[in-house]
Amino acid sequence: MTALLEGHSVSKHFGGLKAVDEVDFHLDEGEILGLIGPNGAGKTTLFSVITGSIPPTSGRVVLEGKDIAGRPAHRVVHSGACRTHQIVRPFARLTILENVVVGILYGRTAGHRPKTMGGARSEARDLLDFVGLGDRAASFPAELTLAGRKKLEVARALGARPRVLLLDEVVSGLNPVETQTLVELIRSVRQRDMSIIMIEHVMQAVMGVSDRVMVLDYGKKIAEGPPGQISRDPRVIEAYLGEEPEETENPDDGTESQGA
Amino acid sequence: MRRLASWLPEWASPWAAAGFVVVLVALYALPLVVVLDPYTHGILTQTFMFVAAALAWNWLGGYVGQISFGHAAMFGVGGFVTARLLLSTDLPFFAAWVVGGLVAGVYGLLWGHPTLRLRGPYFAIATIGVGEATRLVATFWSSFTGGSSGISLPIPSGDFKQALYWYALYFMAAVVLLSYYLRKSRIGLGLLAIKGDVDAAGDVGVSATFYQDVVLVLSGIVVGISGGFYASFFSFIEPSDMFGFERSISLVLMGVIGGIGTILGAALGAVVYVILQENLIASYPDLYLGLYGLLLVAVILFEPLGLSGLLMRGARLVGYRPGAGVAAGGIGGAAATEATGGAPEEEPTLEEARP
Amino acid sequence: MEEVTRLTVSSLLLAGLYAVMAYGLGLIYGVLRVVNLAHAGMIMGGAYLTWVLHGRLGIDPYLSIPVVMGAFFVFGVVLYKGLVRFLPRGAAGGGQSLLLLFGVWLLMRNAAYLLFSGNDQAVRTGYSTQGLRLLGVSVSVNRVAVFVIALIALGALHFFLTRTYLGKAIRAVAQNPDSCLLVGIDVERVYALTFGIGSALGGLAGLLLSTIFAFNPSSGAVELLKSFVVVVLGGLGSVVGIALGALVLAFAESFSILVLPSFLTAAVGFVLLVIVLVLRPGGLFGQRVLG
Repeated sequence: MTALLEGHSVSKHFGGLKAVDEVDFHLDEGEILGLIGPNGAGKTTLFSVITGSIPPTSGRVVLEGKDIAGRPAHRVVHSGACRTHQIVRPFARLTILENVVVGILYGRTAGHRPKTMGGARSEARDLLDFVGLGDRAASFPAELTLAGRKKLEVARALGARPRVLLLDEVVSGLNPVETQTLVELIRSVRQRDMSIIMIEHVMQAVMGVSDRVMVLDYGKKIAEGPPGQISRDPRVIEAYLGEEPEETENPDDGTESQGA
Repeated sequence: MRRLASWLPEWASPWAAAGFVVVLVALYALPLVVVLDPYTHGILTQTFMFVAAALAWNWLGGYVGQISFGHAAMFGVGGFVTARLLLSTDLPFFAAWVVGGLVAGVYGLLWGHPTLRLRGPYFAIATIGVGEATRLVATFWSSFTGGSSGISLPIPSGDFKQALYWYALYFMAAVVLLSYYLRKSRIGLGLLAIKGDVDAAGDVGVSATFYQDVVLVLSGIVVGISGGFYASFFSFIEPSDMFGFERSISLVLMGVIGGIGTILGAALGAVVYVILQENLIASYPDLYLGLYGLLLVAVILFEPLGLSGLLMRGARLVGYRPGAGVAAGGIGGAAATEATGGAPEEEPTLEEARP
Repeated sequence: MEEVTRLTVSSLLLAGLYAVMAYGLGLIYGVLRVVNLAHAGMIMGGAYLTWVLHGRLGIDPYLSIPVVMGAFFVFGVVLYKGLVRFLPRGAAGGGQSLLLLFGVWLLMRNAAYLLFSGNDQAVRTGYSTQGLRLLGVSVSVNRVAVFVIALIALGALHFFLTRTYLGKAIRAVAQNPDSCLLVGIDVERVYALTFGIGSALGGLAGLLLSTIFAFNPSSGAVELLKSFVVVVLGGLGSVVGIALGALVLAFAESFSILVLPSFLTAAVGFVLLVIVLVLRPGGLFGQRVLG
């Protein structure tokens, strides 16, 4: 059986620094894969390599049988993988609705996008309703709270109708209530025939949502498995013990924060 | 109005379309109704041509946010190709303009494709280099450009000058339409996304390379046609005038005075430029560079959105809140909050209060 | 072979001038994230000031270095405090400061035109035409002097930036202005100082240029492009990077004479720029300056 998205010994070196080092991974149809690891472990770099923002030093990334490694970002989106950014990057001069329209009109290949601007707008409105920003369509991104902008980031990526959605820390920096809404949002995204890889520091969120979790440390994959097994894995605990605790509000959840 | 609106393409607003048609008809009829003296007639013709060129500069400078100090290169290429075609072939003049424009567009692509991956200031400096290098080559390549003595075009029959007025008007009208199309269609959104954040645009599927190239080629074609038109209008061209740094600056100035990124702004800028050119600069030819410089400094310091910024302030005084289209103007990256009258950065919202 | 040696020596000597030119532009960009288009005006102005001091007061161009650098330092500081300070910086405001400084350059050009007319000028001293032999080829004394002064200036700058408190403050601000505020560095003062030093280097480049080449009020445009090419080649990181960039440009230009007609030399810099952009978008030697 072949996976939807596969990475074969993917590496990215910056000079002498091995930000991503010979990482193998796979994502199955309909799966949510959590990607965790201490700061600087190479998670976001791996995202950038998958989505074409930076070319890999070596290795292959295969999406639905096609090697997409080294393709420019916009072509990766058209091949079916779209990302969000850890530090949100909305188009400040466009309205919230227009931000999503960009995703709808540019994220898909020619045959799959709406024929008219009106069609794109109404689809964008539906997506904004879906993420809970329906009443803010005419505002500008700067008028939203951080949680709102993160939702916008997700809506814009959903506009591209990717097969694989890559979420880079969508819940970090949010309060528990906001976190809960976004976690619900991620769960409902799965119903849309999408598979998800999510980078997350908030353990409660990532362990609760993921089917499987993969752990990076110093660019290498150190563990992979179901959430319950990962949170007991001694290598993972050690990797996290080496640094400041990321998450202190849920001391009863992950082993790593208990240890810290 | 509503029935008319259903005829229009999606990107045209009915009111703007109505205004456009009214202005067009009035300008079309003007020389038929009133007897224009040759001077006024000529000035209007030139103004139409410069409005077209300024709009085309603005596609790159305003829509994509890549300021070019080198558009004279395309203006000159268009002018000289047109002139040579008219001198050595039997091509009708409008065909010569079009060919001149196309060659200019290709030339633009040639230097633009590699340099457009530079953003902002770096692209701007590279264009200064393009402009200077092109000017030098043109000056020395005298078998084509006539060197410092320039070349004269065949002077057509008497009513050709009269006809140029309408040709210029049609040309301008076409460029205005294209400007609206580029702004309001699918492409316009993509360009604004590129202007806002190139990398984020790529991550949702916008190919910055492709769209920037397209815009530069279109811009080059229109500026090239303007150059050809200019050659036909004056019947004499020389490299130092066509390719001169001043030529490039004048396009920058029209865009900046009027308000970068807006359609009305670029048009107003061209009108103001022609007025300045005729009234001030003709009397003080030694001072025009300084005057341009002073204008640039003043606009940037006091109203970066130029005349359209002033208009917007006026509109706000009478209680009109400009829409997203206006906010899309301006120089460089993010400044939407400023342009729309200040949205607070972290305003608590109703939505947030709901559990 | 003789020709190759001659071109090698002249490229080497020219590279010194290019490095000084480029450092003025690169320093201001590195610290303030503002591209100083008025740099072209500083180069042109430096040449004219040298010419005036020499023609009217009879001061030798090399003796007027402190005057010229001082004058442009003050000019740069005033320009910063009077105009540049009020504009937004970085990605969002880059376009504004670019256009404003472009306006300043136009004003300077016009002023030079009114004061000195548009004719070509050159600074001719008693030793302008004298030559000396270097590596078996004869070169003008002037070119050697220009090279030596450029080396001294770059060395002094390197020392200033790496060894003195103010220099370290400049480098710190370049890396992170916000933390500098926190540790009590007067960031505004550093900005003004940097703008002054960058301008002074522009003035010095103009002075050096005036002893070798003819100039007029529109001079500086080509030099601006060359400075930029050097910065792209060499990165903003260090004096060494800039020097390497300058060497590459100078060699490419000098040796292009073997294959290209001389009026195309001006285009060499641009072609080099395009090649680097296509092959190494991150610059040849240093940190990336794109984006």
